[in-house]
Amino acid sequence: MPSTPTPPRVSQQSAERWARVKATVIEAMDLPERDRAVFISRACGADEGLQREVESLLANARAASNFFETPAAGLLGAEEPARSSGPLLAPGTRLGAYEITAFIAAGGMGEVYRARHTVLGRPVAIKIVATRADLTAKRRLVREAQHASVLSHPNICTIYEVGGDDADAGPFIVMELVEGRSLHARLRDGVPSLDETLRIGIQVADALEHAHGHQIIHRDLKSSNIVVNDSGQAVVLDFGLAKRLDHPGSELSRDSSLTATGVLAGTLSHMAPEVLLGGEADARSDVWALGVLLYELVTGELPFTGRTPFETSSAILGDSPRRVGGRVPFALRLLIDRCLAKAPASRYQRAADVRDALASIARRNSWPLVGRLLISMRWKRWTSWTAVAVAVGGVAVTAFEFRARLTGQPIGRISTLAFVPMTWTDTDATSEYYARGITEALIGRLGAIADARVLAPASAARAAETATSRAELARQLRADAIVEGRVRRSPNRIAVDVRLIEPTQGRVIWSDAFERDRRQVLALEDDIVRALIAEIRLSTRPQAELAPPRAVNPEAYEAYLQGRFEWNQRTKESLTRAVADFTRANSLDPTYAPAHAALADCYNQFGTQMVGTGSPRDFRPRAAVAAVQALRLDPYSAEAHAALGYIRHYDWQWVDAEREFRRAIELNPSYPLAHLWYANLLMSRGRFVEALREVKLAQDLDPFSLVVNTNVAWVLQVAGRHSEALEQLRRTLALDSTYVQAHMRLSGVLEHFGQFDAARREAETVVRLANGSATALAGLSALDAASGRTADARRELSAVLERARSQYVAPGAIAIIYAKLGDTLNQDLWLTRAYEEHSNAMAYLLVDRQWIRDATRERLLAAVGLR
Amino acid sequence: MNTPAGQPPQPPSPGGPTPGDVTEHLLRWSSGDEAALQQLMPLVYSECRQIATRQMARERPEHTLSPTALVNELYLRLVDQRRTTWKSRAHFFGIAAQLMRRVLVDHARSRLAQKRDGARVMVSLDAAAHVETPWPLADILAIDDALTKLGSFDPDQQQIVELRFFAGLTVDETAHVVDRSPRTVKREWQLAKAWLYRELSARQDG
Repeated sequence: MPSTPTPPRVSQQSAERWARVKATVIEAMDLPERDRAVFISRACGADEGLQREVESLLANARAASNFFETPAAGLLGAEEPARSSGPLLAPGTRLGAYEITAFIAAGGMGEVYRARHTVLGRPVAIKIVATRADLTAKRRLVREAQHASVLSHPNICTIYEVGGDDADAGPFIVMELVEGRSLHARLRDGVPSLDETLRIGIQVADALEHAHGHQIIHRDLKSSNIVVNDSGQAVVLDFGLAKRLDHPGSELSRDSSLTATGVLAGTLSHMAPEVLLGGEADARSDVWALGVLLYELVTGELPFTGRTPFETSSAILGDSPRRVGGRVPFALRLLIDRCLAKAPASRYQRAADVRDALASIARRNSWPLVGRLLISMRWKRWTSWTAVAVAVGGVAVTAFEFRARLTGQPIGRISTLAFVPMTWTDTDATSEYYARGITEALIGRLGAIADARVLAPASAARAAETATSRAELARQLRADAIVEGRVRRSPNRIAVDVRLIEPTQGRVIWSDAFERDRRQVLALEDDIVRALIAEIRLSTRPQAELAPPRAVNPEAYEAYLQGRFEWNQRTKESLTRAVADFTRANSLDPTYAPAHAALADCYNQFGTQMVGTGSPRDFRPRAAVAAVQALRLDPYSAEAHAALGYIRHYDWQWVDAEREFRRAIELNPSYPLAHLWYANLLMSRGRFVEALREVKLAQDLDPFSLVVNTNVAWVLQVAGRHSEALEQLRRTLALDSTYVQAHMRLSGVLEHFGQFDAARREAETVVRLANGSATALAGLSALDAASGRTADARRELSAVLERARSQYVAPGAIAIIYAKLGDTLNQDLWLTRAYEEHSNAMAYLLVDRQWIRDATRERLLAAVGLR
Repeated sequence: MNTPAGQPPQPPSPGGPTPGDVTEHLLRWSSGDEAALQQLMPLVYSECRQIATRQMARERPEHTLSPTALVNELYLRLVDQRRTTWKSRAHFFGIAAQLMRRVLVDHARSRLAQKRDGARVMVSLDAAAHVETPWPLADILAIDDALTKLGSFDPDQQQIVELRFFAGLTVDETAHVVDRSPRTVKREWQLAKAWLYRELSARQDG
């Protein structure tokens, strides 16, 4: 038989206190609404804590029950003026030096009229209290005037004067007449444009900042309290509930008929959670209300609603706001989320910060270059914390502020951030590529969302080779902070611990742990990225459009990561393994888009001359199927668009190809291959200036990549800048002297300069490095033909043709030999074959000077649409 | 009362207390026999556990339970309604509520100890139609904690909450059980709810 646990001992004092609270609350409950505030202040006297407690409980009671018949709209404590016969004042009524001309509206605790100064003729607005006998309301009105009159700001309604205790109507406020509709009314017609929303937000935030600077918080900011006048200015009205935070000894605070927290008087839907729970309102609760306002402007709805005041307050305290749709810039969404953080400490601390953040969103409209974000990744060794850095190029270095979560003090501005590659805790052999894969995925995602450029991991590997410590790495990469991570995998869960470290002293600035079910690994990556963005206040790209993360079959994801590992090595054999991995991933989980996109990339590579697994006629259709499937699953995949662009390019769909590449770049400006392949497209159209720009961007993102560097040389070469091409190739070979493609290109450049011996040495190197492949041999043959060693050329040609019978040899490679031999007939023959199989070389017919200019070439140029 | 109209009492589980036993004890207790309570409790408790377990075993999302439904079922199983008046029913529900609370808490704790996914046992607080309830769902352990805390400085309110929340008694019935005026009970109830609501909300944040 279970027993009830003995309650903890309670001190006499708190029991007494509770009794007092209880008595006060119960008595207050028995009073009619409008008498409550007065009773409470009398009963509590100077005991502000007691008063706060009583009010809080009353507010919660209201939320917790349907006893009070409040309308479903959820106004908490709004005092409806007891009007039996319309507005109090008729037109023509004199109030001091003013004459009433018309009734405008009833709201809050008073009525607002249009009036004019009888002598000056100036049109004004006059606010009076609705119920003549209501002392509380009268005091509130005067207080409102006192507060607002201190404030002089274009976006705050100006108070001219307070008049007339003598008049029957009691005190009245004369203020600026703001002509226009309230935002609340305007929203009924639809939401404003993004520009207008930002503009209004900035103005309101500015107004709040001004008020806060005078120690006044508004406490009742909402769309019905803001009017947009005919000059388009937003004007904040109704500082009626405002409270002064200072002057504890002043007359204002002594008169406590205005509630201490404003809990009874504020509007529920805009009330910040801490206020609802009985805490003090401060600048940050105004920031919350600003967040609610922005949400309304952006969606047309309130973020927290319910059928009863209860549900509304539940939502405020516990729910996340309903998701904002995809048309809203990501940065604005994050901004609103931050204003609506449940804990005040997590919000923007000042209205000025919100204003500045809005302004920066407004400013941004084209290529966002914000910071240098270095992402490191380990490449080869797996036992030490060797950091591999991926540098992000940024033209304009804009710093973002960083705050140490642990110490609560600002660290100082950070402009570069280095990611140390994730380590792992288990001994599973697959964990290396898993951890690496996650790091790569984080980089990729950050590159798509964050307002920064992100360098590819492969390049990072090179830089890390020489770094011996965090501080040294940070110095080499000019990083201000380092992100480290550790991946823990268990049969059903995946967990990642992330730490942000200040490198000079190795101090941990921020750390967090992320854990999810294995199926949710993509959402986990998203969690980490978002946490980083929020934590270091990284700006985000307004164009960021992303599908929300979904579950992926864990085995499929692993196969995908294995495939990535193979793909990154870029050899014929590894690519074949990659295809197997991606195919396996697709069969395990057909809905995971990246695996399809990666498969497309592999097939695309198979059909190239260099890899030469087979004819594009066989592989490109497969690539196309995979790319289209990827896009069907995720239209926001930059990789899929780039793969498709590649396919379109070599199928001579020029316009489509360009569109795909541009879309890929728009989705992820940090994806180097998109730029690279786009550069090739541009080059093949003869648009050399643009091509060079794009290929340099690729190089910026992946400075140590052999593929990219060689491609740069090629573009330079085709553009006629042979000396630069030469220099570039030398630099590339300095990175890796065994890179075949670079030697091949070098051979061609040297040939251009007439340095045939040197060129031949290069061509021979190619043959040796490529293990005597037919393509390599064809290259040598072409060179020999060009340099007059005809006999050698023909001998080599025969060997190539012999091979071509049993394995795939790119027809273009053979066509070139004939071209150099001056054999137009056979050139035509092989060119036509190349054309028929849509060989990649065909796309470059226009700019590749190796071909003999003749009728066939012209015909082909027309056929592919280059003429 | 919430007992569904017209339903006959369920036959008791084999070996368990018969309606006769329980009703007898209940009637005696209602007329002032305190000892009867001691005999009543163990009978009711075991039944309570069985019903709760059975209900929780059913496939429900988030394992939501309605304590009142549980207690109602308990009542139907154990008490011969023809012989009892609403006053003795009220008494029954009073202890049943306490017991139900303990049973749910124990169950929630054991599930938590097993660390099963979705281990939190959620309680549906839609006790009765005429009573406005604060939340659709709440964590039973959190409620228990909060209620215990409330009980540490206001035991009366804790009892009222038990009776209203867990047993679904009306204000009048509750008033009868705690021997105070319905008006007072109503106010106490509202205040207790306010306090609980605030307490639970703050915990959710923290």
